[in-house]
Amino acid sequence: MKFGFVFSQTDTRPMYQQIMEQITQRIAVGDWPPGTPLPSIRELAVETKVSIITVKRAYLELEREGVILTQQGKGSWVSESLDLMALQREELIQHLQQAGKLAKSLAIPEDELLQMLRKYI
Amino acid sequence: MSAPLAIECKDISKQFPHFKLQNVNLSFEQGTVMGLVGPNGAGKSTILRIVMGLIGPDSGSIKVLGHSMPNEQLAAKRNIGFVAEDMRLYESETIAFHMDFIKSIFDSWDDEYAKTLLRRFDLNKDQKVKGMSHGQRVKATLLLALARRPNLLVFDEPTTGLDPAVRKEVLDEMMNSLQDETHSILFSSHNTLDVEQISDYITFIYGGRIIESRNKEDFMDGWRRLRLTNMNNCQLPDLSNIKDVQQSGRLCSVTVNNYDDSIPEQFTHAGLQTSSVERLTLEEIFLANVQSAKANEYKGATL
Amino acid sequence: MTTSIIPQLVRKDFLMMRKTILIFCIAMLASIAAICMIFGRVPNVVFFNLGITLLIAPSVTCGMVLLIKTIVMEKQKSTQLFIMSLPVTVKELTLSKLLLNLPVFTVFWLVITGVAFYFSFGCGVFPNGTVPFVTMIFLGVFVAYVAVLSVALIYQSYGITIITMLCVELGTPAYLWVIAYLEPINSHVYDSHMVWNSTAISLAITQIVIAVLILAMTWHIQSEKRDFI
Repeated sequence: MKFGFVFSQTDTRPMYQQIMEQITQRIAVGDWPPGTPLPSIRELAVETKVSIITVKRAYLELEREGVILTQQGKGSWVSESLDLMALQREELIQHLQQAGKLAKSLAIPEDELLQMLRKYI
Repeated sequence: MSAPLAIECKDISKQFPHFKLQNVNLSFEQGTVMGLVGPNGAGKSTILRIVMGLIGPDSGSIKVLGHSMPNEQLAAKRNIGFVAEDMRLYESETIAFHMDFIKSIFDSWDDEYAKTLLRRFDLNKDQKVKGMSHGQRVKATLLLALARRPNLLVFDEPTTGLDPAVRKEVLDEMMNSLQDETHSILFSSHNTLDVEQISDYITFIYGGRIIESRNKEDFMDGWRRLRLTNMNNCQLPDLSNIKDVQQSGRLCSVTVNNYDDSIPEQFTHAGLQTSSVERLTLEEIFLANVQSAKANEYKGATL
Repeated sequence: MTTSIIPQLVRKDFLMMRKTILIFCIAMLASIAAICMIFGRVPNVVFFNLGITLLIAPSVTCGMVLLIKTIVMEKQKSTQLFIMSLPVTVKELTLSKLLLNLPVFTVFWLVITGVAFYFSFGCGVFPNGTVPFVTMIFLGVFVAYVAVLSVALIYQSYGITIITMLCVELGTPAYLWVIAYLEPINSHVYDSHMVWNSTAISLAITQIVIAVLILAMTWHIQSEKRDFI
């Protein structure tokens, strides 16, 4: 396999998130430095045997997060101004957002949530 | 901007002695994969045969690669590779015989690709169909459809009865056939994993009707299961999104379609606590859909 | 670009059937050889009956086997779905089946008719007055074949095709009995010259017309077919 993407069947996250993770990992370890062109959506879909729409969604989400840039007709590449720290920070913020939402639906008061969080720092 | 349509079915209906296909609308653009799911007897095979021009609908119109069916089936079928579960090759002949036959019909036949497929599918072209296993027969039939490099693959249950290794090979080859924007696939499968993996669009069929047809990401995103605790035995909010409710004691699990972030809040307002919101696999969506369709049928019957 | 694939279909059926056809060719040649051997050794009427049976059996059987294998079994064994996935219409598929079955049977039929006429009249076994009657027999065989072929094409069912074969097998001798009792035909059987009176001519023409009509009707029915599961 050209790109060596490996997915786990026991991973319950949606496939687009797993693709995003595979791509960000390659960027994080430096295999795909800033400016590296990404495979075309179709190419990656055919290669990984995952539907085109799922790969497309992964690319869109990565673009929204500023990890990659996409230009119509030119394809996508790893963002030049990509700040790895910012990327990881973004990920943390997402987790916190989820936690906040969940706490709200569980009707956990704000200070109790903060206390809970403190336990893990 | 949008690509030309691979298939466009408008309002097809067809009456059979014991089965009715009603107002089927189905379309998707070239370069993409459409997966049909639904229980046995839902009408998947019938739809695929109508698309192939093998069954004429009572009403409605069908366009395949721009050709109207069944009248322009000659032109359309030149560019379609059709494989069905109940399709058989000639028992007394070898794979090579069939390959020569198909090659004599299609200028697009790719000898190199055929050889590659023989190797990949582990087939011996000099073997007679008579002595082949089910899996080998399916693979041989797929080879004959793939090696002519058609623009559209129409596969009816291509992976049924295949072992996991062969199933993977078949899915791989289906994806490999999508090299560019002009190649599309329409297929049906009982195996929801297959459909979930490679489809760009999913159509759910039940009782001769289309229940849902949309792009896979929306389809998978739309369905959620909420785990709720109902401490005060409150009434569940009356939402049209709710497709299934399982209640035992104070714990309650609700399956919803067309999920959005306001739904947990509505449950909170109703006095329930949401402990988690889970995504569903296509298999679970399939079962929820069947259940809700059956319930509707029952409601319809008692009204 | 959209050239018809009928030639490829006929070729495929021929390749698959060539062994069968060859076997029946040998059987027919054996029959003809047997007829040559018994010629002059048995009484004329016995020779005639034996000869007709020996000639008709392999050729008619070949026709039946061929149509069962290429037409009825195509549907029964679901290879038809494979064929219909190719750029071909029901009409074209029907034509391809006709183009294989009809010529093969016609060749067999011409040979047996020729051999029968040669021995009956060329060698003077029968007076020429019998020619119209023998002509009826062979035209009858052809019509019977066309009827079975048509039923096979339309229904593609073992049951219906075999019942038709049986009906035809019983019906043809019955029909010949009726003809044999027709005064305008039997009164000239022992003449030394053949007599083609209006009854004989109209019967012969009717048989030919029936064969053509059956084929035309089959074509029409096949053209109207819209469902092909």
